Amino acid sequence: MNVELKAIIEQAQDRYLKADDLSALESFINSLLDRLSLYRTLRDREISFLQLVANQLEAEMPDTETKQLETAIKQLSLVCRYSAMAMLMQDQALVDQRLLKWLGQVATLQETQSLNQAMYGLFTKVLNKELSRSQLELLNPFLNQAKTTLVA
Amino acid sequence: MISVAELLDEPNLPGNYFGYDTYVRGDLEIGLLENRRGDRLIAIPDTLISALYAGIEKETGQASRLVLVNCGKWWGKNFYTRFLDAVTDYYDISLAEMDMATFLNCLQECWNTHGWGKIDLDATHQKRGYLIVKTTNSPYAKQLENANRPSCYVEAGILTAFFARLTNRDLEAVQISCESLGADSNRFVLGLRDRLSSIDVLIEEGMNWEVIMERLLSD
Repeated sequence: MNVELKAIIEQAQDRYLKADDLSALESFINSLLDRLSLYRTLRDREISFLQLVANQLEAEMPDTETKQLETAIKQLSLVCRYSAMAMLMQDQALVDQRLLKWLGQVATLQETQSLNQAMYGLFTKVLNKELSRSQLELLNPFLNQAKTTLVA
Repeated sequence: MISVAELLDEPNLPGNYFGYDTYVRGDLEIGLLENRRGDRLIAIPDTLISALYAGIEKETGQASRLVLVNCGKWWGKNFYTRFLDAVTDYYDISLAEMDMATFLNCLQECWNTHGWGKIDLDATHQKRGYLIVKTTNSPYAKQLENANRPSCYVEAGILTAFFARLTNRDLEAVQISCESLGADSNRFVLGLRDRLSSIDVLIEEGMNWEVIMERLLSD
């Protein structure tokens, strides 16, 4: 769960919440509709976004085995889905702890960091083109953590 | 040409099977902790392990080391079967098809999530037939009374049974460094049983693990 919200709930065990605590809760609620809308966009358009990435990736890396590219795209899909959820719940841990900690090790074992670099570069371009500035602001904090972990 | 629609059509895109948040479940209202397959889990305090060591030593004296190793072996045998089932089922792939790196990564995550510490494999001497398994923060690193030797007997048993089944060979895990003796981690050298008998005396003498490995490799 969102660390901030969890802390607020803990505090509420001792006393009623103060104005500051409630305003943290308020800001979580205020952007919720925008976050839901972005979540739906990512859900509905994931395949088209990833297809654009896949097409370009195949063109740029003709010597890489298709199986490897497919695995990379599947992992990107995982990152996309977990990041979307983390964005919705405003909870970095959802993508860090539940996915990236493990996926980072897999990337090291499979030595896919440079493939990931190309792929995330393309994915960033696609998102920059397809999403609005405010949507990118909502999503990027969570995606950026993935890029840091998975790219050489 | 890759078709993403087809690629993502698979019913579930496997993630980390042993991730703590999804692996550990339960109905705490009735006091049940379970893993995601419904096998029961319990959290045990460190004192229980100490008590087990002390109790077994009181009852079986000199034989306690063997008793603990055999506990580990029995557990390791069953752990291997359940682990293999869970992993091959979840990733929808047979052991033969799975690459060893992924299999070991799963083992690491499993070890971690269960609170058994960290586990690493060192394959530097694999060509000579030896693997070094390194565990850190082991709950089993406790000395029996008046002993001053590597003491993770349960763990040695688990690793022996697990890797013997994995490789289908008469392997044994012999501990050559121990956290209870101040080492940075516990190291177990995995190899064919009859090749490892020569190092027992070196372990009793308290030799450093690097020296032991040197002797083993020079044989």
